[in-house]
Amino acid sequence: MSKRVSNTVRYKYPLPIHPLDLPQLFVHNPISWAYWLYSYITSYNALSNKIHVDITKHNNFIHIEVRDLADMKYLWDRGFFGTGQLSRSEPTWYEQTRKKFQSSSDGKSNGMSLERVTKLRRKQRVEFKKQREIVEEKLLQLRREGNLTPEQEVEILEQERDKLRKFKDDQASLHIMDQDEDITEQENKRLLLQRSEILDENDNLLNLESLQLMPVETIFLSFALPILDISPVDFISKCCLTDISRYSEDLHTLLIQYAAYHHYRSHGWCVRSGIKFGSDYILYKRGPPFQHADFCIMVLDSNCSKPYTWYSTIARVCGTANKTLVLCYVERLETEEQILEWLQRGQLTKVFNSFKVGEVIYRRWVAGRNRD
Amino acid sequence: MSTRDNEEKSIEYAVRTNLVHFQNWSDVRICDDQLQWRERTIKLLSGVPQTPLANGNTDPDGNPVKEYLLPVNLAQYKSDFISIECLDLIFDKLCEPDTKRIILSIVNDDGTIVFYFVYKGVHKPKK
Amino acid sequence: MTDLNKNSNQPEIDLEEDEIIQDWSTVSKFTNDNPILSIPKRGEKDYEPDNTNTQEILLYRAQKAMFDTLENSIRGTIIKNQVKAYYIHDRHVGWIPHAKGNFVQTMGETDKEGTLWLHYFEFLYLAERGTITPFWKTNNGIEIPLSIEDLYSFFKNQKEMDDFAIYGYLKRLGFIVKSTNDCIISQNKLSFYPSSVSKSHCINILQNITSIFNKTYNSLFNGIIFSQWHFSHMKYTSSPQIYMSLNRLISYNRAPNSVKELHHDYQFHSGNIESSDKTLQITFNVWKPNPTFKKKFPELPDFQIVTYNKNINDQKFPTYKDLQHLFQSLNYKFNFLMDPANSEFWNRNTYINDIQRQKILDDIDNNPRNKGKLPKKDTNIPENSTNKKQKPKRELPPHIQQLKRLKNGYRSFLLAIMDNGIVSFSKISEADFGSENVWYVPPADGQKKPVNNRKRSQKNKTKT
Repeated sequence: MSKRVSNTVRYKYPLPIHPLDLPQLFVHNPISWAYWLYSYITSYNALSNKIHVDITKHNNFIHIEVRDLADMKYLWDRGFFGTGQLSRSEPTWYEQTRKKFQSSSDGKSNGMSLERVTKLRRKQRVEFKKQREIVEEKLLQLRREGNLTPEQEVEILEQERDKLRKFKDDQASLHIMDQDEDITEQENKRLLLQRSEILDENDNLLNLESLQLMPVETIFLSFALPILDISPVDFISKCCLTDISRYSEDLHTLLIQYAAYHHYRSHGWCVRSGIKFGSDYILYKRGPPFQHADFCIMVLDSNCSKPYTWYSTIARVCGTANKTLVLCYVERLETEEQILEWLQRGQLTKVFNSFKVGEVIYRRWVAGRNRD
Repeated sequence: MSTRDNEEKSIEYAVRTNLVHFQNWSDVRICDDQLQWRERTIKLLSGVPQTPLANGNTDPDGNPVKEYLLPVNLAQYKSDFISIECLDLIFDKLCEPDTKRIILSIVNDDGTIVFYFVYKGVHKPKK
Repeated sequence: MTDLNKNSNQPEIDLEEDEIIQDWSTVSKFTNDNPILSIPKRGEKDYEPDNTNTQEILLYRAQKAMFDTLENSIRGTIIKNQVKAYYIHDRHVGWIPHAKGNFVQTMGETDKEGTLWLHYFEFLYLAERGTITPFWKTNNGIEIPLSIEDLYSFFKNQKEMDDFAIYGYLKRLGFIVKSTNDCIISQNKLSFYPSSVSKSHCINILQNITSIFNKTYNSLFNGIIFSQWHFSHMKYTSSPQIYMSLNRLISYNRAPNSVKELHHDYQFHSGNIESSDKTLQITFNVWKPNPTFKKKFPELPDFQIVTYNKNINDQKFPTYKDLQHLFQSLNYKFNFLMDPANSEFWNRNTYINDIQRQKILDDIDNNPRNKGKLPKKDTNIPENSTNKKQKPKRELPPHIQQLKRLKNGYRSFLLAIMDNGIVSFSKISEADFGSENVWYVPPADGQKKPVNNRKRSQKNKTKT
C-alpha cells in the first residue's frame, strides 16, 4: 500500500515538461489574484537546464545515452523514457549494486572483501605492464629494422593497443585468477571479477549503466518536448547513414517510425520498444509499473504489402502474450523533395505534418469459437 | 572518438557487459576467432551461465557449461544476413566441435538485448 | 435415405434434417470423464511417445469405435427420397425441380415455379454431403449421373476451388453462408445503406464531412510550430493542454463509428471503389447458425469474408488502401453500433432491394394471407430482444468501454486464408487510436491523495 502511494507521488507528471505550478486562486481575495498573475507571468514550462545526452556511432549503429543519475531518474519518472541496459527497463542497476555491496561489505565475509578486489587489481596491473613491455619491445624491434612507414607504425600500434585492452578485459583477469590460490569456487571468482570492473581506483562504485534512448524518443525529447541538449535536425541527419540531401530508405523509416511514435505519445500512451514481442512498439496505458501493455504496434508504410506469414507470425506471438496487434500504416502526403527541403530548412513541424496514420487490428479468428 | 570508446560501443562489448553485470555469467570472453560474412565481421562470445539454461548440457555435477553467443544488431537482423549458410560457417569455424547450439543475442536500439537459442539441426523443444 | 426426423428443434445441433441421423453413442462413450478411457482432448497432448503401448491403445480404441460406428450405418439412398439435381454447364449452376429439405431454407434461390437454383459451390457441397444426387441432363432428356470427381473437374479456376473449400469449411461448422455478389435469377441487394441516403440532401453535409475527414487537420496543424522556445513562450497550465498541443502534429484516419458517419463515408467513397481482378473482394456473407433464417429477406450477415490464397504469387496481401476499400464496401451488422441481437435496430437499418427490412416484415404481417403463417417470428423476436436488452443496463465504466473500443476496432471483415488446402481465418478491423485520449491527469495539488488511490484500486478490481 505504501508503495502505491509513493508511485502516485513519484509518477505524478506524465511528461517531462510540467504544466505551470500555479498557486490556488481565492475568488474573494485580490491578493491571491495578484500572486496568481505574478506566478503565471514569471513561470514557464521549459526546463531551465537541458539534459545532456551522449550520441555515439559504432559501425553505423547509433547509441543515445543519458549518464547522469538524476537525469536518468527524471526521464524515467516523467513518462518512462529510455531503458537501463543492465536492468529490465527502469535503470536500477546502480542502486541495486550499491545495496548489494553495502550488505556484503558489512560483515559477511564471503571472500569478497575489498582487499580481494585490490589484490586482483594489483595483479592485473602487473600483468598489463608485462604485456605492454612485450608490445613496446616488439615495436622497437620493428623500428630498428627501419622498414616501417609512419602509417604502418600507427596501424601496428593501434592493433597492439587493442590486443592489450582486450587482454585487460578478459583473458588476463581470468588467467590471473586461475593463479590465485585463495579462489577455488567458481561463484566467488565471478563475483570478484565483476567487482573489479565496477570499482574505481579509490574503491568507489562506478555507474556502468546508462539510460539508453531510442532514436524516436530522442526526436520526441528534442523536438516535441525540447529538453535534451541536441538539435533534432542534426540528430536526424546523424541517424541516417547518408546525409539528408537524399530521401533515403533509412530516412523514410525513421520519419514514419517517429510519426507513429508521436501519434501514440500525444494521445497519452506510454510507448516503449516492442522487441520482446516481436513488434516495433508496445503501448502502456500509463506506464510499466501500473499495467501490462495491451497493444503491440507494427509501423508500416501505407503502400506496404508483406508476405502473409509475416502478419500471421506476429499476430500469433502477440495473441499468445494476450496483446492486440495494431498495424499502424503511415502515409506520406508530400513529395520526397518537399520533405527534404523542409528538413534542410529545419522545419520539422512541416515535415511531420506531412504524415498521416491509419490503423488496422489484425487478429487470429477461430470459426468454432464464434458460433455463439 | 578514441578506439577505446569505439570498442566499448561494439555490440560484442554490449553483450559482454550485459552478461557479466546483469545476467551474472562467469568466464565471459569475446572470442578471438572471427569470420567475414557479407562485409561484416562476425565474432562470438563464450561464457558460463549462473544456472543451467533450458535444454542445456551440464557437467557431471550438474553445473552449467560453456555457451556460445552470437551478437547481432536488430537493424542487421535480416533474412539475408543470418542465413543457414552463415550459421553453418559459424558452427564450423567459430565453435568447438560438437557444439549443439549458439545463443543469438539481439541488441536493440533501446539498449535491450534479447536472447534466442539457435540449434544445429533438429532439436527437441522445451516441454 | 432414412426417414427424416422432423422434430429437430434444437439449434445447437448442426446436423441438417435431411442428413442421415448417425448413431454416435459408441463414440460418445469415449468422451468420458475417466482420462484412461477417453480420447485425448485437443490441446492436451503427450510430449512424446513414452514407449509404452498405453497411448497407442487409447488411440486405437477411439479409432475403432469410429470405424465400427461408420460401418454399421445405413448407406445409400432410398429411391423414393432421392433428390435429383441437375448441372447446367453453360451457366455453371445447378437446379432442383422440386426441392425439399432443410437446406432449401438457407441455400440457393427459389423461383416462382418452385425450382431451386444453386450456385455451383452449393451444388457441389450438397452433392458431397449426399444430400442431392447430381446429374447432367442432355438435350434429349437423358440423365447422366455425375461423380464427385466429375464435379471437381468443372471448377473454372483456382479461386473457385479455394472459395468452395472455405465455403464447405464454414457450412460444416453450421454457419449459413451465401455469395455476396453473383445472383442466379434475381438481384437481391442486401445493404446497410439505403441508396436514398439522398444525394441532394447530403451534399452540404457531405462537403462538411469531406473537409473534416481530409483537409482541416493540415491547416490546423500549421498553426502550431514546435521550436526550441515553444515551451518558453507558451503557458500550459495542465498536462492535457500539453498533450493537446502535441497531438495536432500527426493527422490520422478517423474510423466512422455511428450510423450517420457510416452513411456519409459510404456516400463519399461509393464512387471510388474501384475493383479489378487483382484486388481482393468480399466473397461471402456469413450468418451464425439461426433456425429462423429467411432466405428471401435475410438480416444483415454477422460476418463478411474475403478469400485469399497465400501461395498465388500475383495475389498480394492488401495494402492500407486496399484495406480501406474493403472496409468501405462492407455491409454487415456493424456490431460496434448495436448488439446484433437487437432486431428492432437492425430491421430499421437493413435494406433489401432498397426497402427497409422492417417495412417488408410489417407488410408480411399485415397481409391477411400470412396471418397465422408466421407464428415463429412473433414468438422468437420479442423473446430474443428482451433477453439481450437487459444486458446494456449494466453499463461499463468509461475507461473499460474505451479499452473495448480500442481492442475491437470498428468495421471489420474476415480474411479466409487458403494454404494448400488448409483454411484459417484472421479478423481485420479498422482501428482508431487518434480519437481516444488515455493520458493521465495528475491530481491538482490541493486535492487529497486518497481520492486518487480509491480510483486506482477500483480500476484494479475491474481488471481482475
